[in-house]
Amino acid sequence: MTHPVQQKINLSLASVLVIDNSQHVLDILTQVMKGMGAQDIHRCTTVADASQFLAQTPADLIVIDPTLKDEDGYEFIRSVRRSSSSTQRVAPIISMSGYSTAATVARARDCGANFFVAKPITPKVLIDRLIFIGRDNRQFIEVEGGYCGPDRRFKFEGPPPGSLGRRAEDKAPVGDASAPNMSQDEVDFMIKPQRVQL
Amino acid sequence: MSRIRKYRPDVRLRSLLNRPGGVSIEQALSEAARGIETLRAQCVGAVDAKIEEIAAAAIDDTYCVPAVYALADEIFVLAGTFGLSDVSRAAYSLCALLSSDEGARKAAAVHVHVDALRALRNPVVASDSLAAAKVLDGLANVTKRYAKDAAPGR
Repeated sequence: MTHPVQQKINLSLASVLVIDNSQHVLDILTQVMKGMGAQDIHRCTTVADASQFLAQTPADLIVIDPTLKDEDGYEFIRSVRRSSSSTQRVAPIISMSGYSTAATVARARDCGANFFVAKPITPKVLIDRLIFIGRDNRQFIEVEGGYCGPDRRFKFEGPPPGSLGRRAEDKAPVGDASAPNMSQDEVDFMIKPQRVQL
Repeated sequence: MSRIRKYRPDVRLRSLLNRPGGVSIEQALSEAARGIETLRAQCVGAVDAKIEEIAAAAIDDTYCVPAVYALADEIFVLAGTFGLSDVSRAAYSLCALLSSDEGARKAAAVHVHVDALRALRNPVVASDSLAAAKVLDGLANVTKRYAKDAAPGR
């Protein structure tokens, strides 16, 4: 992603929660967040600590490695998405992992994370994701007993390569009218199912 | 049928990010890079310590796979962050091995990785790109042999 000259990022008033088993990784993340102006950074090494923190203080941004040792970080993401606080429920969550497979990415997405970032951490990638969050206008989806989180469809990619798409013919001009307009009765007759006496 | 609610939420972070003031992207990147650089010595030291922790943990085929995996994953991340790309690749190979059902229980294969990691931390090998490539090729063969179901390396 290229950034327009003079584009700025402002995390000075944001509360950021970073969760990772590794103190070293937390140190690195803290430096990246500080670089972006964040002052209110909370570090947790366990899901239990993070849950306790969120119970008292809302976070505007959560950055988590869900592959936590002995704990289920994915379940933590799900619990945030089902939070009773509407502000907390929709807070952006960035999931990041070291050894990443397609399954890891899909799992994070299906738990309700906004983005997946593959470690090693680079400031540029994190800043890019935050800028995207600033512009992201995806809908939030809440399915009763199912998925809760941002719409998992990022973009409309058009019909499959090599095909015109199912609606291609809709774009053809319809031409001039070949008969007078139908009356409302004729229209009603075509589209309204009616009870009749036989 | 499940009930579905769709809406465009007011995300607080979005409004905070776009507030006047803040830092330029360039400034944020350089500040972050400067801050990360201050951690180099302790993180590179941690890489060496974790290599030895793996060596001590994988004594036989009954070793604790998640614990060794966590160490390998951390080496991968820290080495990658601080430009030790060959060390990071070797740790990634170990993660791939440990992620496979067949490879995860092979302490001998773990020790091959430990030896490779130690070698790649040696300044002589680290500065010889041909020697480092040979070490990584050897690891790729080990991982390919045991971890057929692992994800492809980077």
